Amino acid sequence: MFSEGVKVKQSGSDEDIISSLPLDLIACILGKVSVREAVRTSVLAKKWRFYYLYIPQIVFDNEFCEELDDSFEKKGCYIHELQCNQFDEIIAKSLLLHPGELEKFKVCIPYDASTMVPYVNKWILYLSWRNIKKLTLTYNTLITQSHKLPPYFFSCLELTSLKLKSFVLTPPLEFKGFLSLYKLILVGVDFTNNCFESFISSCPLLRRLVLRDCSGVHHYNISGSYLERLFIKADDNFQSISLEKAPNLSDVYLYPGKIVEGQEGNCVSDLVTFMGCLPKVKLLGFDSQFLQVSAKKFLFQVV
Amino acid sequence: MVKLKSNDDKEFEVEEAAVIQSEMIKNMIEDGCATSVIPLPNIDSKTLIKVIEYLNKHINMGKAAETGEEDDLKEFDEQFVNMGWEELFDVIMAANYLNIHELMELCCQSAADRLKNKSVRAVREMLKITNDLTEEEEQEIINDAPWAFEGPEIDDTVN
Repeated sequence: MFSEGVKVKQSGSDEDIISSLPLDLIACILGKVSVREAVRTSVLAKKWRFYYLYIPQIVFDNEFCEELDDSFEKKGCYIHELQCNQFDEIIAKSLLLHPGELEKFKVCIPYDASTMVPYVNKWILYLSWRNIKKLTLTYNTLITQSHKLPPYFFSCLELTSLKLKSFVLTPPLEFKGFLSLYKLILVGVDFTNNCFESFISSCPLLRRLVLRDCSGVHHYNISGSYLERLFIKADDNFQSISLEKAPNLSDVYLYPGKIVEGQEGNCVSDLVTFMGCLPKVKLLGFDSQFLQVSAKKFLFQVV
Repeated sequence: MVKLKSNDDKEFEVEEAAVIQSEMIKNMIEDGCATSVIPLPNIDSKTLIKVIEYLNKHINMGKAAETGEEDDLKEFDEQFVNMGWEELFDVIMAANYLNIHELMELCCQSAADRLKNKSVRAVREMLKITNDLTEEEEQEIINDAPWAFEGPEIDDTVN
């Protein structure tokens, strides 16, 4: 922290009213306005030049992307590479100039991985030095080539919350896990080399897990003794699901899109069997296909 | 009951359940360091009254969620932050000193909401900041991050 929070009241009437706040509290306020508004404070007065750099969270969301896009249009800047380059410049600068530890970093990337990979890898490199805690990186393009995460991504060991969209996840052999991670949201993430199960089990504190349209996962063997909320929307390649090793699940949403089978090829769509391995469940959500299968099985048993 | 003393020597009695929302005082009590009166040399009585008002209202946050009093609490919060800038900053300083996370968040959010979409001129006026930059310096800063200074409607009013 930057100060002891001891306040000295200025008696002079020309003193501005925010100067009594220590820098960390000003940064706390600026962290709650948009990044654009925070940067605008740099022109308020001399001493405000660099206050905005101290914001504990940097968020470049869709709104930012849209505003930037408008500004490109106004300037007549239509060259894709040039846009990507300027987008990177803004983001890399905010990271490079940030003087302290960064709590949260979020970027919605409006361009395709084909041009963005080197830029995004550079941001991840900066982040890996900054003890980043909450990270969101999402490619928001419709058709996107997946971006393979660089090895140094796996040295962001302080992560508590992580959201990724359209990346390829291949943890290096020496990766010991994200030991503080409690929230993990993966959308369109590709797990290569069957690393899914070992990756999930190397995040022992996970409480909330969302897996949407991830590829390279055939068997959703979910483990985690703290896991409370689980959402799975699987792709066509998946074969089974097992929740036995996550006994504390309370909210479970499954959208498998096809028949769910147990580990030894047994159909676990039988709701009774399924509930048996979820002693603490309070909320269950399924898609219609899952329920159809359950109903068929039920009929079969009655006959 | 716990007694708190402001820097202008006024004493206030607060229920322990309310006052332990302050991490600082909670730690003091747990460590047995809380004397009969806890002096708060950084907080004046006017600000302390506001903080105590907040603590008393938020005494059983968990309970409010169960009994559906959340709306009531939300309304209180909205009314609570309806104060001038100086008063708001005093409460932020006090909440930071006493380490009352929720109150800090509430007040910093309110400050941020007031700055939202405001023009540079409007922010200067609201916070009584004197611009000591020359026109050239100002332009240089703007040229450094032009994307932040252009774009959609910026509010020039001071409310």
